Amino acid sequence: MKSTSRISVSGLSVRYGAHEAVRDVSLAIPDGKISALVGPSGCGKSTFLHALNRLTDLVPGCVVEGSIRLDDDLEITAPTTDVLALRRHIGMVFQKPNPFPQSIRRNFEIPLREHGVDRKEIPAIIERCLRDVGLWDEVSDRLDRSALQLSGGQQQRLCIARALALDPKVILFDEPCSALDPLASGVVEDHIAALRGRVTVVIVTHNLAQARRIADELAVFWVRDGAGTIVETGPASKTFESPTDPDAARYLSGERG
Amino acid sequence: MCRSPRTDRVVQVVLGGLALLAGGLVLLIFVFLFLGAWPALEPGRLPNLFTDETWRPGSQRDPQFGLLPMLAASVLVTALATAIAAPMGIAGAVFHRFYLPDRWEKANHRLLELLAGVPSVVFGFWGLTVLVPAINHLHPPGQSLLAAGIVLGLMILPTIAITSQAALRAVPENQLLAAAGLGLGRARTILSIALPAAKSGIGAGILLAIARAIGETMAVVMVCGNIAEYPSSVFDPVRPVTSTIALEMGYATASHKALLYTAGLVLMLVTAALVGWLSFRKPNPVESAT
Repeated sequence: MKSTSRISVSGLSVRYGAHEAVRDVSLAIPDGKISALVGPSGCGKSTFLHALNRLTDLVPGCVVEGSIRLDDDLEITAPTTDVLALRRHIGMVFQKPNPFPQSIRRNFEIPLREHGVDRKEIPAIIERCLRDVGLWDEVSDRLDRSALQLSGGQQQRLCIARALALDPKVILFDEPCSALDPLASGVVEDHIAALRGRVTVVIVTHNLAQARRIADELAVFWVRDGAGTIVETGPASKTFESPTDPDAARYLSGERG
Repeated sequence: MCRSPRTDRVVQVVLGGLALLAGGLVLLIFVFLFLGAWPALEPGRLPNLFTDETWRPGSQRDPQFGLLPMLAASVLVTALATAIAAPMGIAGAVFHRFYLPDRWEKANHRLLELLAGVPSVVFGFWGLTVLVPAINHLHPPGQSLLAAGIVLGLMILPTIAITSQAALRAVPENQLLAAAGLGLGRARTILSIALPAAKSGIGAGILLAIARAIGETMAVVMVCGNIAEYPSSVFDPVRPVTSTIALEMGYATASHKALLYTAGLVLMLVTAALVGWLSFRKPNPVESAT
């Protein structure tokens, strides 16, 4: 009876005060696959993503209802859940690259030390993760220089490497390429695609072509009755070919959105 | 603008004039101090300022013009005040930024602004009637380096706290989001992310506070004891440069007066050096992170 879902969401609603951003969303996120969340702006994709590792906690007045389970045994929404440990298992990469304005090495050391990783193991982890995002050869001789000296695309790859360093089960990507030029965007996209099979990836993107290229699973968000919800979900190829929801069909074919 | 070039010209001249006046005032003060100090700066007189053991300018038998014990007192009082105010101000700012709800932070901000507005003579009065007797109880005489340091520390506390709060508030939200996304706890986020990012602003606040502290007169003169000798402990009375000028300018004549001008000039130069350091500091220390 072992489920292959890494994360199972059921009946999830998220409210900011009186505004309901997400209503009654259920979604199974399969292990080791790339799940893409698409849809027009303001339809709750990012809010949904932030709920998955409780970053919604940071927003005053935000109320989350429903169930999100990690590996069928950890109830993420429970108030007793150790949020800091949870975020080690479910990492996040944001829209705008946000390396800490310190050395490249410190960008790894701060989170690794905080999670109790032995100081002696850190150099090997840094090298492995920077190789994973193709940054090692570019920066191996300047690990002690400021991360802010890197280009935007390099900074975003550093952020991915930093998330990988904690050995997470899941990495959430919130429009990771939208602040980058097309060339850098392509490089970052290739490295996200390369995570398939090793880490479960959930990616919010406005770029339908990108979703088509890398997604295994697709979920289309839409605003219904004033709140965001999922109107179409399934394997990416099938969903792109023959969506059943009329709004999703028009959106995916590029007619609207 | 094109329709009324005359009005524009008038506005430009008036604004320019006022701006020049404001900037020129500092230069005028320097010139004024320099002219007043000139008789004391003549060759042959200057060494006395740094070699004489004590300050006894009015004595007929054996006049002494040693400025160093008073400069030392100024530096020591300021250092003590900073040592008291900086940890309090920074810790308070961190607490209000990261632990208290927003509305309390606002209330605290108002209180700090109020504290910054308390007249220095009131601080001195409090020091004289409350603090000095308490210190006297601990170790006579009470009027001391310690009393001056504490009073001055409380006076510069709001400057440090307010600038530290502003610096912490200016830490970009996406840095804090990155820290949260990596599962960093609040303490780690403060120590490793927020404080390093705010370091430059906090440092500027401390320098401003030091520049103010070294020139503060009224509160200090009331509690410091006013004896122009090197202190051997924090309980000894001291006499900073500012106190000397305030106490003696009223009756000083001739060379004595010139010496007081010199003391003022030295003080002004120290403050100018601090402000200069403030403006020529590297704006972003993280670039050189090691």
